[in-house]
Amino acid sequence: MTVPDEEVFAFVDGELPPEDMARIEAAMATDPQLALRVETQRALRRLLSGAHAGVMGETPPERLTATAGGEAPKPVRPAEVIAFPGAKAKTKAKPPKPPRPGPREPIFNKNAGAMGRGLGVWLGLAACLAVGLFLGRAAMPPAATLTGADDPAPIAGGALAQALNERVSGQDQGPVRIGLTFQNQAGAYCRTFRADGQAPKAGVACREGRMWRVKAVVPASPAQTGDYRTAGSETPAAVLSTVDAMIAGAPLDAGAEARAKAAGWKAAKGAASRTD
Amino acid sequence: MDSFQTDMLALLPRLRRMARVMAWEPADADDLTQLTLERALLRRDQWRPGTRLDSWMFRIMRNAWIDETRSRRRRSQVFGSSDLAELAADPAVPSLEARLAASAVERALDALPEDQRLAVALVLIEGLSYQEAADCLEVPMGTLTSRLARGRATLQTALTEQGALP
Repeated sequence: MTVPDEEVFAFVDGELPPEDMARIEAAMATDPQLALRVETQRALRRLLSGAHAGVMGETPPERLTATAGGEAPKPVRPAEVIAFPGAKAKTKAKPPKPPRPGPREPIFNKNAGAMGRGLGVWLGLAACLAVGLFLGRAAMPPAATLTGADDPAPIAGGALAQALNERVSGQDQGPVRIGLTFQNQAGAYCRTFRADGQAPKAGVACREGRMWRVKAVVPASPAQTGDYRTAGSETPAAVLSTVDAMIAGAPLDAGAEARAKAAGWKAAKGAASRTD
Repeated sequence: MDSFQTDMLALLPRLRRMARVMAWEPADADDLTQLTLERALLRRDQWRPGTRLDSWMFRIMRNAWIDETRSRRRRSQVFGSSDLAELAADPAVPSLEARLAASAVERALDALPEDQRLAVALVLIEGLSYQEAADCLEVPMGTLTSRLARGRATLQTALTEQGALP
């Protein structure tokens, strides 16, 4: 009897109807070739069951257990409803609430359309930041401190990493804006950033190898309106004083920043004081 | 914490393992796991009790991974040259170190095209049925079994050459 490969696989995977399982089982007894093929497939399954098995025995990182066990997010299904931050959001967002009384809510360019909308939309924005953009770990957690007291500083991911990698300082686009670029005393490039959303955050991240490590994150006041923003004007004082403590030389100008970016943000030791 | 969350917590080791099959690098894999948990919590009303939570979450994870790789591709296009993209990439690219520490079977698995790798992992590592794996990957059964067969053949060759299989 010739048994095609697919049938051997299905047999080993337990996917054959009972009568076919029995038929192969019986054939194996008289067909050593078939028995060998089955045994090879079983050995492959055993080998594969050991792949990445180390992670099975580990205690999962606290942030994952916290996410899984944490407060369930409000069921607004924001990811389907609204995209951060742009114009598309307007088309699907729920009708706006009347503007809040009291101090005027600061309005900020692209987010202007989303400001003043219902709570659901805000939850949506927050959830998009947290869910869609991998920002959750880096920029959004509430307990961020400047002291480094929270366990190892988070690595920037997603939209934050993208902005840190790509965005020109002061450029106004996307959910994350970059303020200043500078080198720290070790020569590594650092950049201040600001992420808007329900709970705006600002901070500073430094290049470590091929990652950006977030050195500090603080809640930021909502984006300022009206005045022309400069690179530093929307960076909270707490972040600026962290920068002061870290910086070697002056912040990079546009040309130096472009060169640093082109070089993949590789630390240039001793280049901090160079003036080119 | 409700029973849905308790069940998710119990799945965490397997979710992390599947994330490594997709993303390879531990930090990326845990990011992917976190994203999967967040999305699952947001969409929990779409899960039908009585169906398998694991394959439902693997499906969420796979879609999250697709979104993530797409945005990475866009990012590398911004840089134009692949060298620059490589330099500026976040730690998405498997480090040499991680590769050296991997077992022969992990390397062989990682060398498979993603379609085949996910089919192999869902059925042969996670123990999903063909139907569940096909649903999870949103492909017909025939596509699943053919990916599985091709993946198996490649793995068998690679692992036999390395003496890991008879």
